[in-house]
Amino acid sequence: MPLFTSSSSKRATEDLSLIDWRRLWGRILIVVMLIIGVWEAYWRLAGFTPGIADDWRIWGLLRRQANGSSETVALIGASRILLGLDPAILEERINAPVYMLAIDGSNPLPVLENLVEDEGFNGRIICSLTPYWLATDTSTRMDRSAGWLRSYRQQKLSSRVETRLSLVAQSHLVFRNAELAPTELWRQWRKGESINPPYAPLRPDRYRPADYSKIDLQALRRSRIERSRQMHAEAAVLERETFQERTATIASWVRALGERGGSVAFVRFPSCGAIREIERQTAPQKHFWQVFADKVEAVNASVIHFEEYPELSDFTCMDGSHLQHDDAVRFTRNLEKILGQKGFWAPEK
Amino acid sequence: MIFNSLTFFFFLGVVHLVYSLPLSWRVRKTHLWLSSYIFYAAWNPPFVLLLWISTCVDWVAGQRIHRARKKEHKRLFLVLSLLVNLGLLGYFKYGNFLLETFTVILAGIGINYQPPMSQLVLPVGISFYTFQSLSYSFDIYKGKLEPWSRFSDFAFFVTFFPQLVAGPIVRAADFLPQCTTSQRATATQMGWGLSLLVLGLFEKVILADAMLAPVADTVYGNVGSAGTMDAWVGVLAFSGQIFFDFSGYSLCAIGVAMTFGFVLPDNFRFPYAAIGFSDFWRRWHISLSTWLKDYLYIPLGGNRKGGLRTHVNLMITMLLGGLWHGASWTFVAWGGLHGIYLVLERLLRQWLGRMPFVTTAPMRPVLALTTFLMVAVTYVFFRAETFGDAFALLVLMFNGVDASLLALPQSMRVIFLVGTLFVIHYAMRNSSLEALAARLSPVWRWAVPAAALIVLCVYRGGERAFIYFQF
Repeated sequence: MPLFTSSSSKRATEDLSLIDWRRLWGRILIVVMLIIGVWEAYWRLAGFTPGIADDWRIWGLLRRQANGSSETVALIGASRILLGLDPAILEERINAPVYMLAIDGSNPLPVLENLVEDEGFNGRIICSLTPYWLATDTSTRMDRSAGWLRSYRQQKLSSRVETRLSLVAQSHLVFRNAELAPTELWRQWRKGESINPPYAPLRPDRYRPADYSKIDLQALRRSRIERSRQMHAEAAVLERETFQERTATIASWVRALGERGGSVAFVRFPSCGAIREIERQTAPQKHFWQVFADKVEAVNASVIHFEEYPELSDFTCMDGSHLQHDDAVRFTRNLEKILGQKGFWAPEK
Repeated sequence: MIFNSLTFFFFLGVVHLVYSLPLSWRVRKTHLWLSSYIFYAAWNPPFVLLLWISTCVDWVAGQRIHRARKKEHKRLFLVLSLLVNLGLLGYFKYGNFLLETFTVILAGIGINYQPPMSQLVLPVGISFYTFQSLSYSFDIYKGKLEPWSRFSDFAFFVTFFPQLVAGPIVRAADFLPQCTTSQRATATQMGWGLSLLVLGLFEKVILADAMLAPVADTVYGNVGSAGTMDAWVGVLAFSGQIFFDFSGYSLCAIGVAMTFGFVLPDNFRFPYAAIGFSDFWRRWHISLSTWLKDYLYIPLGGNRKGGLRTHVNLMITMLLGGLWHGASWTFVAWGGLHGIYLVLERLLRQWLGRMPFVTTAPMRPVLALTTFLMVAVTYVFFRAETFGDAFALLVLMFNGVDASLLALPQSMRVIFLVGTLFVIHYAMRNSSLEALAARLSPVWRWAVPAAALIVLCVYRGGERAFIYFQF
């Protein structure tokens, strides 16, 4: 039996057939499993746990699942809700499917618009809004959410299946962590950086439980303040008319979703210290949040600012901007109660 | 579904599981045939329809060509097959290209015409399966093949998933006879097939995508800020990338087919060790170059109608070969350059034939290196988005600009990798992978695939499709 129809000589083919291929491949598989097993054990002993690398494919998977049921709750926003609201806890308490559709470092409004425009979605939305995304001109900023939405719409069937399989692998195998990719390890080794487990690994439901004991908190806090200061300095605060236009647009989205049975709750997640001060200076609550709240409440949206509720305001954001896991669990429970009191979970809302 | 994905391995596992059941050959063959549709539909389910059209048209054309008594009738059915197959290819692949070219021509004579461009998606692998299916009608027309008796075998031949989207382009005469007897991979075929699959994946994922593609992308994406050294490194990086990418795909395809007991033709034979361009085309994308030779160059007259006509035939074949790769004039230019090389080589050979030192052992590596570098230069047109970028890069390669876009270690890595590739090809130019594997010591025989598998398991890269999928 020839191995190729051309090129391979008869002699070479005969020589290959003398090899004990079963034994050879048995040995290969044992060696591979042994070395991979040792590699996996090494990183587990170093404190790593399986973690998901976030991307538009995983987001797209959850985005598709969010359609179809009026019971569904979609969580949108950026890192504050990704680290601050545990979907598993909320799901357990309200007994309805919850999907984390927040995108790290991005504007939640394109995702809100996408959910509203999609007739297949008629569920409930909890939208985390920060003063930056509400009150500044972000039109010139490169935004990840627009790219993710574009890619998700074009996602092929094979890519969806691949994402599911990849999620299974990533949820069980530590060595599939993005931080442990050989190129990343090489980069860190060359820079002399220590290789530590991520402080906020992504779970398969896209929640990121944060454990700040794993990092240099002072350095993180400094970099967050610096980044926040830079972002706010670069962004122009909206003129009154432009802000009112944006608010009116958001209100029209809320109304449109409400007409087909859905609802929206806008939540201002906690921020503390210097970052809170920067936000206050950029967008004073009275001129922006309050105006926005009046407008969207008029179309039946729920609006919650953490400072207006004692049970949401007694949290310390360790890095100035995000909650740690224990606090996120408590925050989720408290927010669920408040939303319940506002009738957000009631079917008729 | 691409080979370097978990989905493919899941699919392959399920297909193998069913294939290994004690079922009749007919059932197992049908299972492979239907699984191939699932494989193709994973990209875009409606395009399976195109595959069916191509299959049905060539099946019917083959029967009618064979049955027709008059030459004109035979020709009529061949033309029908050509019209449908090339019509679909033209519509999906070249529609916008033709429209753009037409617009440019009109603009040239002062007419401003802006037609709306269609938003057609190119069906993956259409160029490959169209050529494969067409070869069946051609072979029957030329009397080299009789129509096959079973439609399902023919449809299976057009659809067989390992080679469906990027070749090798298989001939019916090579494949269909394999459908007559029950195929089960022998231990050698299974073992060697898996080895080829691992080697192909390593070439694609690690060498092409991880090590070379980022450098090629950087240089071709930033021609304006590159220096001469960067330009050369970028050109070398893409030469390595395209070889590892496409040869990796071919090895995977041949390996996977072999694990089912099917034999596919070889597609690469250490092409970067070619001495001269005709030798290069006997080693690079062999299934396409032989297709073009058998169904285009020879019907045009080949080298039977005098020197000038031979050169014209060579140019036509290479220009169309270039166009086959992509709907852009840059691909035509790439093919045209190869055509010019082949013509010059023919002329040069007559002259150099009087200088025996040219073929001496010390000259051979020099000629091989020269051939490789000249081939690498043609890739500028293959890879660049526009003629502007291509010419800018070519100018940069020869005018000594001192900018540096790439870090030195990055450049050195590419030079080392592509240099090693050249040396390996040269060392292996008269040999084969099988011969190499048979010569390896037992330890190397398991250590090499094991190391490649470990690297593939722990490596995390993006999902980069094979370059030839776009053709």
